[in-house]
Amino acid sequence: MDLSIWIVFIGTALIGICAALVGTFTFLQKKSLIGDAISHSILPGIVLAYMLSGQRTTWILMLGAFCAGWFATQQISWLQRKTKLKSDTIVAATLSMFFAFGLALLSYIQGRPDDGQAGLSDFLFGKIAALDIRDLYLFLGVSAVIVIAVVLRYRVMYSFAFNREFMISKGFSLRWNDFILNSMTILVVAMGVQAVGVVLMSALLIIPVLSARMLTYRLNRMLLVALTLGTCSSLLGSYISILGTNIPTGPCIIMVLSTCAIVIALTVKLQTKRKSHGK
Amino acid sequence: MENDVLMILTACSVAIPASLLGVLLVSKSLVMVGDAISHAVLPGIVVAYLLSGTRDSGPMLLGAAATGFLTTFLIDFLRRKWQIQEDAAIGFTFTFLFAAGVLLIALFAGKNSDLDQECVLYGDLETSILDQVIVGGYLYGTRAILQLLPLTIVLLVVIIFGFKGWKVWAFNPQFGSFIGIPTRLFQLILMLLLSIHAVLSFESVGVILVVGLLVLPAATALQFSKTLSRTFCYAACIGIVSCILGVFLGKWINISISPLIVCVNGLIFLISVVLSPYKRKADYTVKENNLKFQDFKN
Repeated sequence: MDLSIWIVFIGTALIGICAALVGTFTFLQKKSLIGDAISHSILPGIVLAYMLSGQRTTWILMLGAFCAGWFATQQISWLQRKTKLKSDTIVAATLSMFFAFGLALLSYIQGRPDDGQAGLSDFLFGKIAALDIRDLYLFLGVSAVIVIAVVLRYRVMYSFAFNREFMISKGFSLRWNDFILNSMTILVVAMGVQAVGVVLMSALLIIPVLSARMLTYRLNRMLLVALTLGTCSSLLGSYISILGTNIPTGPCIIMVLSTCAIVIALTVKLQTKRKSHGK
Repeated sequence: MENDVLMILTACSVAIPASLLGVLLVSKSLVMVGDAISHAVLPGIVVAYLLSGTRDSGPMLLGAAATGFLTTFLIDFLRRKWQIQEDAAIGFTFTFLFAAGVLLIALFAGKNSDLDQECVLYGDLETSILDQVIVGGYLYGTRAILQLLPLTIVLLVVIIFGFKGWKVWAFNPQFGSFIGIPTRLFQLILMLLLSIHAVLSFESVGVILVVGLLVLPAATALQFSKTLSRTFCYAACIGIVSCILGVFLGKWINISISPLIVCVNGLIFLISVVLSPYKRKADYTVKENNLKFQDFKN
């Protein structure tokens, strides 16, 4: 086994772990589609970061992605305060505006003569093979931040997911909670777009948790199942995409994940049916 | 000059039905379902293309209608039977179908075919106007216009003749089912028209930008109007204006036009939010995000 293949595997495993961790809480607080909005709106950030710096180092692109994601969440909450539109309309409007802006910028730099932008459209569907050892260190740092934040705020986020009014009456700030959850989502998405691409990143946040939810109702078991599922299927998906020649990584990972989810759902259904027949 | 006019007409023929459909989606808060459908027609298109070997619209329409129904059915099924919350059900369905579509393109549609992953994302208005229909030396329009025109007419007929039905469907479905209006049929028709629109506009704007054309004009129109009929008119006008601005801006900066139309649309939306006469009054409405302890005291 080559060193670069190990880097790819550790990188995808980290992405899978962080996405499942953060995804559990966004799922429980019913904000799964915010993840979708953030992952689409990260595109202009990446392209602008490349245009300003002129190089495609991972940490610069991630910084740009983080800023764009932060702007998008700010815009969503601004619109929620200013207008009477429903929240799904606001999310869809923000998503499409940012994504269109990103595509416009992308087509602008593709019209320019220098060819450094050649790999930039990989961010649409993801290409994990482009990872190197410095990116891995960066990924390790970001995942450490996310894991520590989850461990420290585990109880608060847990309570916000299940009894929000109680937490507010206890004096916890809903805004601060939303801010932390959004920032973690943005970080995960900024990390994950390297492997999965902006279009499908939200699936990595949603599907592991969804299948874990079918298996169990307890939060710690759910987290455990989601973590295993997310990690294993992103490893398997990236392995398959490396084996083939022209297979984009993102869709491959998502297909493995959804197949797992469907299999789990079917077995759960069959078992409950069998149980009810036995009674 | 003639090309500019053709381009504006093509863009408008996509944008007008989109903004009409968008008003219905926004007033029923089905926007994310619309987004899901426009993503999910991709595998239908690809399978139809691979089976028939051509890009004729017949098989593609069939494939798209099938996947459109599959999407609504799946979302409904996940929610009802497996008790999955709505946002997660939508997220699962469309990412799964979209990933399947992209993988099918990558695996089976070779390098030299017309379908590739990126044109799927943002379409190509510039090349779609080259596909012209010329009969007897006269230019009748581009293929996109001639395909979308019947859809627009059907949509207008459906909206005008069923206007009261749509109103009841959007704002008071319980009353509707009480007086015998088939609200489920209305929803089904809307989803069918939506998936047909997604397929026909796929070449010019791609599958992801469609959601911008759906939601932005409607959201802008809602800032200025209070009745459904006015919202329809305003939304269509805003769609047309942003197409014209987008085409000229794109010619001027020389970049891809379909993303620019959505950008212009978004800019108009933001301006309208600032200028809107119907702002949310902070005094009497308690928004989730602003909940404080004081709100719970009484």
